[in-house]
Amino acid sequence: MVEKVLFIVFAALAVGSGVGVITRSNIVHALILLIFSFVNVAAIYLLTSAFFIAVVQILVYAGAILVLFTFVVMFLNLRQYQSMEQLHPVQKWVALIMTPLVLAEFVVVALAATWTAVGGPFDRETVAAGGGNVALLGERLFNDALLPFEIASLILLVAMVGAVVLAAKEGREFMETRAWADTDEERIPEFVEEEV
Amino acid sequence: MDIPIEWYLVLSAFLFVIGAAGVLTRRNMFIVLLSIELMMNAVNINLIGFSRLHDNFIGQHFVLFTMTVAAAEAAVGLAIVTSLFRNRQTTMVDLFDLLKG
Amino acid sequence: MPTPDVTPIIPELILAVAACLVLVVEPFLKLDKTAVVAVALTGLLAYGAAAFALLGQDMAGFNDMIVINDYAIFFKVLFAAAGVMTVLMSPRYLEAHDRHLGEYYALLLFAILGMSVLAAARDLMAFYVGLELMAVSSYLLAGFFRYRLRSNEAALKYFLTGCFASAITLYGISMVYGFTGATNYAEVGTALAGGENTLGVAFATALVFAGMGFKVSVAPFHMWTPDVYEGAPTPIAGFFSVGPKAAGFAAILMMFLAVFEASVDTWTVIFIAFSIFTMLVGNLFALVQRNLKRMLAYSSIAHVGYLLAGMGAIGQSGDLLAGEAILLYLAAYTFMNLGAFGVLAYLKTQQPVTFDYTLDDMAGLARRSPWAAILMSLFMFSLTGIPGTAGFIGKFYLFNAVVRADLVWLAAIAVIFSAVSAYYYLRVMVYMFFRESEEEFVGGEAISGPLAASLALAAAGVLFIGLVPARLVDASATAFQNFLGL
Repeated sequence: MVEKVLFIVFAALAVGSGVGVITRSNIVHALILLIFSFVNVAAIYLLTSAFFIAVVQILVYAGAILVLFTFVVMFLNLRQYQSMEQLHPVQKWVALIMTPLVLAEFVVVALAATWTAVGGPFDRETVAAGGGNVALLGERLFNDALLPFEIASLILLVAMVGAVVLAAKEGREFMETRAWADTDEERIPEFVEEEV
Repeated sequence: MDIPIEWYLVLSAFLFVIGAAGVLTRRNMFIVLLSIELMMNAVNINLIGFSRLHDNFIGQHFVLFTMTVAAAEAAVGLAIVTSLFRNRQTTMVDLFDLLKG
Repeated sequence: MPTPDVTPIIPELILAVAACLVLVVEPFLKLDKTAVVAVALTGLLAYGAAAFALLGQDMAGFNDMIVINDYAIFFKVLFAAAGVMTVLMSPRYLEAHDRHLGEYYALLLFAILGMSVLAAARDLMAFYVGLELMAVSSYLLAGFFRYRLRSNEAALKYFLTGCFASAITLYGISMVYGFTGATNYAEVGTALAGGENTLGVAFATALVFAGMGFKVSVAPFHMWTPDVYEGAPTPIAGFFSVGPKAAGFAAILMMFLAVFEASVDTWTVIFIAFSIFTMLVGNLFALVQRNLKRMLAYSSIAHVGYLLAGMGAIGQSGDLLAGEAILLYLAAYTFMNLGAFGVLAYLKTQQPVTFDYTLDDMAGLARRSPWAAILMSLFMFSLTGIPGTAGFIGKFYLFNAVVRADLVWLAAIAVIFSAVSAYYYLRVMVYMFFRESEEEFVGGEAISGPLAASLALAAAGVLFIGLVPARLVDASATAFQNFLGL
C-alpha cells in the first residue's frame, strides 16, 4: 500500500515537472525541472527494486548529461536568446487538442492489453539470495548481453571523436598541421554559406 | 502488493507524449533535446516495469544501453549546437533557413 | 565464464580494428592523408573478404544475438562495396573543402560497422545498439564541415529527426518486450504468434514502422532527407542514400518477417499504403527540383516507395520472390546512386566555389568533360530503369514479384511513376548534351586517381548487374532463402 502511494506521488511529480520542461521559456528552469523529473523516476526505479539502474539514473542523467547541458547553456550564454521563441496560436491549439488524444491512445493500448508475466528466473527472493541486484545484474550483463555492451562502448567512442571534430577549439598548433599550414598568411577558417 | 504494470505504462505514456509534444512544438533546439531525453526516459520506465513483471534482467540491461546511447546523443547534439551557435548565434530551429525542406 | 566464439563477428572486429587504427595513424600525419585512406581501404577490403570467406556458414553467437549467414554476408559485402566507393571518392573532395581529416574515415567505418550489426542482429538489443552506432556516426558525418553553415544545419536536422525516430522505435520495442518477456527475434516471434493482444501488437508494429520509416525516409517522414543530402558532404550524401537505407531495409525485412509475423495483415496494409504515398511524394517533388542533390534525394525517396511495394508483396503472398527482389534492388541501387553522387563530387572538386549543383551548372558538360557526362548518363539511365543497366534488372524483378503477389494495380502504379521519373533523370542528360554553358569554363582536369577508381567501380557494378544479372540473382535468392530458414 505504501509503495502504491509513493509511486503515485513520484509519478505525479515526474509528470508535473515534465510538463514544466516543455512549457518553460527559460532554458535553465527547464533543465532544473528535467533533473527533478529524472530524480523522481529514479525513486520509482528504487520502488521497483532496480537499485543499480536507480543509481545510474542519478549518476548518468542528473549527474552527467544534464550537467553537460547546463554547462553548454552557461558557456554559450544561451539565456539571452531565449525570448525569441513564439508559437503560432493555431499551432498551440492543435498541440493542446492533439496531445491528449495521442496520450489517450497510448493509455488505451496499455490498459487494453493483457500483460502476462513469463516468469523469469530472477524474482525478488532469488535476487536477494543470489547476492543482490547489482551482483546478478552485472553477471548476467557480461554473459547474456556482451555484444551490445561492446558496441555501446564503440558508440561512446564515436561520440567522443565526433564531439572533438565538431566542437573542440582548433588551436594554433593544431591548425599548423592542416592543409593551409604552408601558406604564410594566418588563416582563421571562416564560416561559409555556399553549397558544400 | 506489487505495483500493477499498467501504472508504469500509464506513467511512461504520459512522459513519452509530453516529450513528443515538446519535440513537435518547441522551436528552441535545447528544449527539443531535453524533450527527447524525456521520451527516452519514458521508454526506460516501461523497460524497468516489464523487467520486474517478467522477473528477468533483459529490461534492465536494455535500460543501461539506452542510457549509454542517451549520453552519446547528448554529447553529439551539444557538439552540433556549439558548432552551429558559433556561426549563427541562435538556437532557434526556425532561423536555420539555408536549407528549405 | 566461457570465452565466447567470435566467428560471427570476425568481419566486424576487422572493421573496428581498422577504424581505431585510422584514429591512431591520423595524429602522425600532417598534410598527406594517404596513409589514413590506405588503412581505411584495407580495412574495408579485409572486412568484405572476411565476410566472403565465411560464405555458407550458418551460425549464431553471443547468446544468439548475432548471426553469420548468407543473408548477413550479402549485406556485409554490399556495405563493403559502398564503403570502398565512398572512401575512394572522398580525398579530393575533402581537400577541395580544406577539411581532409582522418576522423572522417574513422566515422565512416564505424557507421558501416553499425550497419553491419544491424543487418546481422537477431535480438532487439543488438538491433538497437547497431542502429544507434550507425545513426550517431551519420549525424557527425553530416556535420563534418564544421565551418560551413549548410553542413551544420544538415547535422542538426538529421540529429533531431533521427533521435526522435529512435525514441519512437524504442517505445515500440519496449512494448514487444513487455508482451513476450524476451528480446530474441525467434523467441519474440513465437510468443507473439500466440495471437493475444492484437491491438497492442499492431500498435507496437506501427511505432516501429514509423521510427524505421524516418530512418529510411518513407513519406511523410521524409522531410529531413533533401535538406540533409544537400547540406552533407557529397560523398557522404551518396553514402547516406545507399548505406543506411540498405541496412534499414535489411533490418525491416527481418523485424517484420521474424518478429511481427503475427501482425502480418496490419503491416501489409501499412506498407502498401505508405508505398503509394512515398512514390507519389518522391517523384512529384523530384520533378520540380533544380538542385541535383535535392533531386537525387527525392528520387531516393521514390526508390524507397518501390521497395515498400516489395515489402507489401511479401506480406500479401509470403512469396520468396519479393524478398529476393528487394535484396537485388538494394544492390543495384547502391552502385547507381553512389555513382551519380560520385560524378557530382567530381564536378564540385573541379569548381569548389562556383559549382552549386544546379541543372544549369550541368549545361555543356559533355563538351567540357565527356567522361563525366557519359558516366552520369549511365547512372541516370540506370536510375530510370533502361534495359541493359542494373536499375532495369532491379525494377524488373521487384515489379514482377509485386505482380506475382496479386497486386497488379500496385505494380502498375509503380511502373507509371517510373515512367514519370524518366523526365527528371533524362532532363539532366538534356542539359549535359544539348545546352551550352553561359559562363566560360575555367580549370578542370580529367577524372583521375581514386575518384576514377570509385566511378569505374560504380559503372562496372551497374553494367555487370545489368548485363549478366544471373550471378547476383542467385546470390540474393540464396541469401534470402537462407534468412528465412532463421
